[in-house]
Order: sequence, then C-alpha cells, then structure tokens
Amino acid sequence: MSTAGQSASVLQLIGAGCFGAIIGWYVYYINRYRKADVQLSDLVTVIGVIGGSAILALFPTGTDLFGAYGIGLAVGFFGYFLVLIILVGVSENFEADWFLDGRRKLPDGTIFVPQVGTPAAGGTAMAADKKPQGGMQ
Amino acid sequence: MSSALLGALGVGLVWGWLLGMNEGRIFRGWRTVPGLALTSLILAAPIVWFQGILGLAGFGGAAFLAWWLHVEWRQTLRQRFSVTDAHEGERS
Repeated sequence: MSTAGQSASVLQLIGAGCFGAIIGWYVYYINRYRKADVQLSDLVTVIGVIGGSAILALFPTGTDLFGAYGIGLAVGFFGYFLVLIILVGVSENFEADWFLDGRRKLPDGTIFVPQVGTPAAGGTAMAADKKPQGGMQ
Repeated sequence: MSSALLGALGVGLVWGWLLGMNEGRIFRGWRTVPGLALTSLILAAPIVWFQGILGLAGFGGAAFLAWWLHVEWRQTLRQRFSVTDAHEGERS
C-alpha cells in the first residue's frame, strides 16, 4: 500500500488506472441494466464502489495512486458511453432516442419501446423509467 | 496540477454524470434531492479531508460540469425526438 509520503512506481500507477477503468466500465454497465427507478441504496452502492473505504484503503486519497484510479475510472466510464454512441450511430436499428428509453426498430420495421421493469435484451443507455410507457408504436 | 487532483476530477465527472441520469425522473423530490445531496457529501468528504478545498473544488466543478452536460444532452434528445414524460404530473 502506498501512502501520501511515498511515490508509486509506474507499474503501480498503471495497475491503479486499469483497476479504475474496469470499475468505471462496470458502473456504467450496472446502471445500464438496472431495471427499476434509481434508489438511494443504488447510489450508496455506487459510492462504495467508486469511492468507498475499500478503494481508499487501496488508493489513499491524495496519493498518485488515487489520481491514477480516478483517471482510469473516468476513462472506463466514459469509454463505455463512447462505445455505445459509436454502436448506436453505426446501427440502422437504433436512433439517439434509445439513450432515453431504449426504443429500437424491430426487424419488421415497427418501433418497440420497452416497458419499464422488463427491459428487452440490450437495456437502455443508463436506466429505464419507473412505470410502463407502452409497447409497440 | 497534481495527479491526485486529477483523480478527484475523474471521480467528480463520473459522479456528476450519474446524478444527471435522474433528469426528469425525480418523483419524490422531498426525499430524493436531500438523498442525492447527502450521498454527494459522503463521496466528497474524504476528498476534502485529504486534498482540502482545492480537491473539493475540483470534484465539485467536475461533477457539476458532467451533471449539466448530461442534463442538457437528455433534454435536447427529448425535444428532438419528442419523447414525452408520462410522469409529468407526479414530479415534485
């Protein structure tokens, strides 16, 4: 473990950054597939994941390791988002409104809006709304 | 700029973006908004403790920027695609 008074090696910094990137990627993934409205417990869980005592024990705040972890966290999180933007842009079956409620074009050309609580495979960009909003349009 | 401050910026960006996903989806504001503020304080506390006011400024600024960008983006999408919110009357 490194403390504020110690300098970390390059390998340690790379490891902390990669660890943060995995956590960031996974945080976006978890929120994307969350089925219900956001709960306070969800946020507490997220806090535990991205900045909880376990993380701070590994990478004490104020050290270079925490810096590498935080940078990796943002890279992983927004990297996932960037990949989604690219995939939605490339696909002919998705428009940017998929990021709002997960709607997509089915093979027969109809637009499908997933009902909240039972998201179709693929989820939404971040989360679905609380109550059903409809089905086929 | 120290790398630790960059780390606080990174955490702030992620946290702000996560907060922005609540845009248009806060149904019980009297409970949710204080909860979000409290969880933000819990996350910010160790950063303030170890990095002082500069770390807090970096974390808060990054979080606000990411929150604002996410909210604006979602509102722009909603207007462009005319996606309505069925819970408009339930918001508080």
